Amino acid sequence: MGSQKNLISVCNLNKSFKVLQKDAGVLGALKALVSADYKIIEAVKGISFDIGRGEMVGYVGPNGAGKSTTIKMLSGILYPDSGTISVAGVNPFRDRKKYAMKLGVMFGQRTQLWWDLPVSESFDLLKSIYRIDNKRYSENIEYFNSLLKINEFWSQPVRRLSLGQRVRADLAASLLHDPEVLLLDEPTIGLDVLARDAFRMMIKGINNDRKTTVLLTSHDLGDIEMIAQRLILIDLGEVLYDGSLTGFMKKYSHLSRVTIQFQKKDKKIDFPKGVSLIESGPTRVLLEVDTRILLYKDLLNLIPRWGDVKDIHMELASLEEILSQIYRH
Amino acid sequence: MALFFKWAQKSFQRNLAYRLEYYVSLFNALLFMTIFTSIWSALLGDQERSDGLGKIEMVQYAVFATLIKSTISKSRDLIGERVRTGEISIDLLRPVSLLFITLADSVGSWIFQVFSRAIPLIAAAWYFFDVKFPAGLNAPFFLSYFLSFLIFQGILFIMGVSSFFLTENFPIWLFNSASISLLSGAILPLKFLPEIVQKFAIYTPYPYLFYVPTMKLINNSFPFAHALLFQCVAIVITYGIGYYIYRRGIRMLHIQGG
Repeated sequence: MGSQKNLISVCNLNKSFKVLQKDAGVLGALKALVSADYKIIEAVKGISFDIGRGEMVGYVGPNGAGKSTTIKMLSGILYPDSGTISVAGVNPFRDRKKYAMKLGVMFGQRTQLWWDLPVSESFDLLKSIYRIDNKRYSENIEYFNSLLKINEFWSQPVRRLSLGQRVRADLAASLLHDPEVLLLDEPTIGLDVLARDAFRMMIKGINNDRKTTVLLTSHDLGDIEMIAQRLILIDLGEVLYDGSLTGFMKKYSHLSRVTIQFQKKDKKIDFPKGVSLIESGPTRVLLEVDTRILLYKDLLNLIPRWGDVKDIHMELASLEEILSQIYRH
Repeated sequence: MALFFKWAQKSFQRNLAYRLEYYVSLFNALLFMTIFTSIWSALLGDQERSDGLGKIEMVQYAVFATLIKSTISKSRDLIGERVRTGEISIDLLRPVSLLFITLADSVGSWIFQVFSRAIPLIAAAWYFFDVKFPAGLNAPFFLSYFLSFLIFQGILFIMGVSSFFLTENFPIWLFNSASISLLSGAILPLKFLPEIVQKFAIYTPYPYLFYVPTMKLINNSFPFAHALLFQCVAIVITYGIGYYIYRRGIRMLHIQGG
């Protein structure tokens, strides 16, 4: 896709891992000492996409889909078996240092700050690492103070920060050198609802103010819904969908949830094709309906046959529900 | 260069954060000094030796070898640990080389150890073991001591980047520790080893770690210029090997964690 001029270009990326196979138990361990069996796992298979400047893209997929492998290759810390990656024309494996200057990376599960030093000292070191001049450094710190309130814990050692504070400090650290691209890998993991909402607003604010391109992976689909305009869905190492988030919702909005409240319900209901039972109570059923198979008007004709209806409530499936359906198939 | 010193300065500051570690390591070094000086005093008594390493020299040797070792050596495989936890990804994302990062970090720790350990240990040596300042404490000694530090870092870098291939590099680490104990002069002067081991040892980087600078301190007849040249060769070889392993290993490195 890439609506604006392409900033990130990924072409036919492949990566496989050789994994040692061991039989269970002591015998299995002894056998592995003498003869090792390896299995080749293809983590990423021919992935290609382009991302334009200023785009905010959600990169989603179930566990083991190849998300983190792609992000690591995009970060330049994992070599692909084949395929090419470039950000603003720079190849991470040929010119790692130049590439690092263009990239900000934030991992939700690990910090890039120095654990034993105050936040201010970590930023001072980052200023030298990325050769940021004094004026730009002061402007950036002022900006992060206004947006992320890092001045609240500026002098505290990183090991003493709360998770929410640490995430704010890490986000500021990953943006300190004005990277063109920000890679976020599970950035809101472990955050409470308020901190998550605040984080999403900050990312939107940064994208708005600085036109930073954002590629986000997260299992919290609220992050994707709030931040991303575009979605890349992968599974088993391949791209299943690449397009706008609204386009995705339209494409899969044939899945909807119908809650039926009965005065009195038949004991045994035979649901037609296209209807799956999610939950069932004495007077209530929750159904998932695929409207490509069964139209609403046909469903509404069928419902009175299942009992004495009191109320019907219909809603389109959320992104999470759609994705869980896709993952299951 | 400014970045190197700033990084080293932050590393120095980080070392200041843990007081207990500092006191325990100081106590450890004192313990080793006591053990080795006691052993040499008991073994040599008042006998004279033809090689000039009598009781006084060997007590001096034990004190200064321990002092040099305790200020230079590190018991942690920082690169290996970061590979195992996946934190190496943070280092590889920086626009500086991994060798630069580890060296700058180690220089900071080293300066901290020199100031925080050397002074109390020298005072303890002077008070408890009656060790006098040796005549060999001059500029060439400090050059040799600095080269020893660089060789140790080179070996540490080889150990660290080997974890790119192996992930669990503990056996190599163990082998290295045993080699240091036997061949570096930290416990025994190289002269005291069987001749065949001595002949083999000079082709490894280990004797140039602690044996050479310690002998420079306590033995005026030690062929120092020759040893200094070998120290420089050891630096070139260890860093060359380390860089080669790094270039090969980085392509095979699997970063742990999501």
